[in-house]
Amino acid sequence: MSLFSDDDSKVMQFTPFTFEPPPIDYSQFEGVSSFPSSTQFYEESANSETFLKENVLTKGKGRQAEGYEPNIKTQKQIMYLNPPLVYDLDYWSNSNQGTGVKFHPTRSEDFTCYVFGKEPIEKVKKEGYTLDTRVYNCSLANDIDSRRVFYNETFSIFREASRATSSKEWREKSSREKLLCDISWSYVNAIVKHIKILQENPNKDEHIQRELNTFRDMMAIWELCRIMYFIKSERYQRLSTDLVTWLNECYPMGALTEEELNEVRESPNLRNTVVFWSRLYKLILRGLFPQAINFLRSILIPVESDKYINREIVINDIIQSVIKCIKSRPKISSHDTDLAWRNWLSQCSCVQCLTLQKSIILENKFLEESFVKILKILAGDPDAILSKSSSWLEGLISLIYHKYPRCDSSDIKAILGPIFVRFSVYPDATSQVLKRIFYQRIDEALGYCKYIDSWLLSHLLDLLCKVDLDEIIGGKSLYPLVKESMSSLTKIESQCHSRERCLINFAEPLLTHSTLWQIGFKYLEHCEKYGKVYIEEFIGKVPFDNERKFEKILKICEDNGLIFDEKCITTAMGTKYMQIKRYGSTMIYYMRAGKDENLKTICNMFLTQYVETGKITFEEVIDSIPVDKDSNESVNFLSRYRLYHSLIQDEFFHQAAQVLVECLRSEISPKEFWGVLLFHTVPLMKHGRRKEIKLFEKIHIDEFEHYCTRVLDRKIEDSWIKLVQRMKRWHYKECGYFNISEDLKPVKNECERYKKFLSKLKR
Amino acid sequence: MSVQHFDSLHDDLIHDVAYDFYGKRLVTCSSDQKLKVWEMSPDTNNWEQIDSWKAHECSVLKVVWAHPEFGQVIASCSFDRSIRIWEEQEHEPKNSGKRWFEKARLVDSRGSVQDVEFAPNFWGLRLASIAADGVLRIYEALEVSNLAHWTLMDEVNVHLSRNSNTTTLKEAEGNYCLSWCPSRYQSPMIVIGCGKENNAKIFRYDQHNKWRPCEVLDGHQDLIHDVAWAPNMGRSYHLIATASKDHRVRIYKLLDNKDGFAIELISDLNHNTEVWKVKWNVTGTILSSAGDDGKVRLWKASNKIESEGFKCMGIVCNDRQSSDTMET
Repeated sequence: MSLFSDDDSKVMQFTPFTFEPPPIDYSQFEGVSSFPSSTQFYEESANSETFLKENVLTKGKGRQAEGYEPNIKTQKQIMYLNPPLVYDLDYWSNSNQGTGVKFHPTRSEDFTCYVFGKEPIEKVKKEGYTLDTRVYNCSLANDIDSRRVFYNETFSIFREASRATSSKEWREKSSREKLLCDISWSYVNAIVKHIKILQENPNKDEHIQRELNTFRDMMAIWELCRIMYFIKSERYQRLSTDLVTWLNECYPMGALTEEELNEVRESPNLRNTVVFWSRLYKLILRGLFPQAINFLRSILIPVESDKYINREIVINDIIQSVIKCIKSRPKISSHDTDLAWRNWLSQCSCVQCLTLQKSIILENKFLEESFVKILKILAGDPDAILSKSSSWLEGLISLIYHKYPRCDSSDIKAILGPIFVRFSVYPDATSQVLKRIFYQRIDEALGYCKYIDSWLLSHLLDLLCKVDLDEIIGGKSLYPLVKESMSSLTKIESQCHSRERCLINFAEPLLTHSTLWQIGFKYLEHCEKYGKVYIEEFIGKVPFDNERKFEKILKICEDNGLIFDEKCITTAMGTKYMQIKRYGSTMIYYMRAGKDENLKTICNMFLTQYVETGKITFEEVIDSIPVDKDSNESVNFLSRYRLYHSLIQDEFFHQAAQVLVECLRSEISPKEFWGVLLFHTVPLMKHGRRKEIKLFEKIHIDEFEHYCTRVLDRKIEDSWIKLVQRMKRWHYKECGYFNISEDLKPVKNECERYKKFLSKLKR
Repeated sequence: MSVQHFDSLHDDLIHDVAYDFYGKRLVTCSSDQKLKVWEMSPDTNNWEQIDSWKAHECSVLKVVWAHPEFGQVIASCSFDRSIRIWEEQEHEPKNSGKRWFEKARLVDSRGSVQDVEFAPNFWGLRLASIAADGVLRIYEALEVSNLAHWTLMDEVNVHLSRNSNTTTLKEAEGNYCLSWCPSRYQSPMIVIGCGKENNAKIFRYDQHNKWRPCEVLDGHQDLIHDVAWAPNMGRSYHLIATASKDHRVRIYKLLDNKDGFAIELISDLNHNTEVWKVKWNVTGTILSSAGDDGKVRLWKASNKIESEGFKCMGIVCNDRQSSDTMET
């Protein structure tokens, strides 16, 4: 396959690029220094060293075409609870003990282990076992505390990305690409920022180190996806330079070993030093031309003696020619690039010929070969490039940069063949992902991403689902990711299914995190099909330590139409207050939850306290509750009853009498309490007679008599008798009120007297 | 991966450990007849004991927490044939031995009470128990604020598969376990592991308010030690796991049809030794099995659950002995 089509008009077609990606601050990652004669050049700075991927760059070197597929799925984790403990081989099966487990109710990868007794002690013979009563809290999950800032920041980007898809700009291809690149850049910036935070962390423990590696992997993968898939219109003439920049930023050249450094330090003449030249090859391979030119200049030797005059002049000439070649390498950005490129290749060939012609004068085979090799690399000779590359990644990108500088991402697949003849790919997940991104097998790449990090998988997949992958990578989609398991789904449905599954997997640990839980639920809200089920399952399990958090939880329920869960949570809050005897709050929450039975129980408790002691203990409680006509019946009665007592206290007897009548008429009081209300009418009637005030009408008296009959008509229950007996204790002896009785005789007698009083009053 | 431990300081073997609804508290029960409640301290990030008390007259076999909407309530069952309901008394000082007050004692069983579990909260404050007499008993606190009064709503002999005549039942040396269906969108259901019958039976609360047997999960060759009904999480089917003396862990898929359930065995996992307990994680994606080898195996649902079922994702060993030779 030719990468340079005969029909130049097609290849050369220039698509105007309408935007510049927002700048990313790569400067924070020190690259290679530029002064070659200084040993500092060969000693990698701390920062750039941290970006070195030895495993990718060197470990994979080999001759096989393909690295083996890692069988990650079948790898088992083994967790030792109690490493120093060594039992006999048959200890567990012969003893009455086993290791039990209980999963955490809110965190799917946390559980508790303990040694349990298989049978109760009563059923087994006493045995000489080692009693182990320890309880182990185990977690398979990674700690997410150190990622709080990162997750907060990237959630904002995620939300922006979700909003972007419904914007006007998204509908137009060119502006959609800009939006997509903006979002992608934002994610990369967030990753870079987090890497910097990790690097600045003085604590360099294993966890931080692991996090650093993970984030570097994520950055490399995300950036490669952006270069390969998201920048479509500007890909032409840009891909090779983008890739070489990506390689240098994500996988910079490694530091020299101590041995190599010594070789450089002790060398009398850098021209003859192998390390010098191998470093120079790398600079050329990786397109680091300013540094390469500095390197070459460092071996220009001023001519000092006649003896070597011819030879030194020749070498200096060759060096200058190579520098000129490098400097004149055309920039791959204009319409006439193809012509310029051919001219430049001829120039490289001329310098190569010149070098070979002067080789007799040089009398230095090593120098001659080194110059020729550099010129061959510059001219895109695959053998020269691959022989000097340390890894498949370096080889591939150098080949693209030097031999196929104008290739398109879809052309790369064809270039990969010779690469994998020479190099193998290390079987770590990151290398596998990178390889598949180049092959444009995004479904497989994502399959490996899950072994790197759930954040990467979920967010990358989310972004990929927002774009037309068929359009971007020509017919490939995320469909194979799920098609086997969900055969009945359409392509679009399966993509949504995968996206949601990954987002839910990522969000789940956040749901019970003390500060990230809200973000967790927000992610679930972006999962239209399955999110609600998870919200429903987890929302009630968020512990609420304060009312602010409680209200936030309820808001999530409200936003998602989870009425039942809202009620459960509100009830749980009410019960929590009930436990600490804060009855006002309890009743407010029970009223919100519509827990009429619970409210009735509390109100009855207050009424019972009154019956027992004659004291109104619920004044403050009922005053703190907003009660209206629509409130719960029991609460309404308690409120009216409290009003009655306060009116009596303030000697508003007329109003008190009215409230009493209302309470009886509306029948909102518990039936066993009717008798108590009837007892309350007695002192009012007496007061009315004594002061000759008409507190009740005749109709009220008739109603009182009617209620007396209703209370007594019913089979007199034990509860009524007990109630009267309890009231008797304080009503007459302690408080000096009239003597009450189970048959309501004082009420009936007073009704008779009051009727006479009313007749007299009428006359 | 991390492991932290604390010593429960029980005087005998622990039989059960239970998390509260939020996972912030733990209760442990033991053959020393005690219950101990632990709370995760946010200051020290350690489990601290709240109280410890003698709860039964014999070994305490199981312990469970009620949903927090019913308060801080624990139910425990014992070899002494009783179920006891405990409620936290906030005003009592911690570790006074009085913090948890016995609200009720349910003594209907004629054999050791082997398993007890609160129903999901949407069915009210209900408690299912299964005793060695082979009778499933459903209790309900009809007035949730009065935990002293529990009504025995139903008694079902799991062998006769009909409401039992309780006076004729004899003490049986049974081996039973139970698990509620956690789904709120179906009528209440319970799966009962019927030890010596080598099967598990599903009981459903029908439209006539009676518990009726509906399906049998069979295939095990020996005693069933434990059953666990998986959280539903929006799946169109149910998953039930069983643990057996025959070394196998079986996972059944139950798909609703008009006659009940279509049952399919989706995984028949080999634990290599007698299996005592099976438990699901909160999302029903990981199953643990505890075997006679002192190990816990964690089985993870594959993405293609129908074709690939569950695979061993990890092993928890309580000692250093032996390398794992299990074939999955």
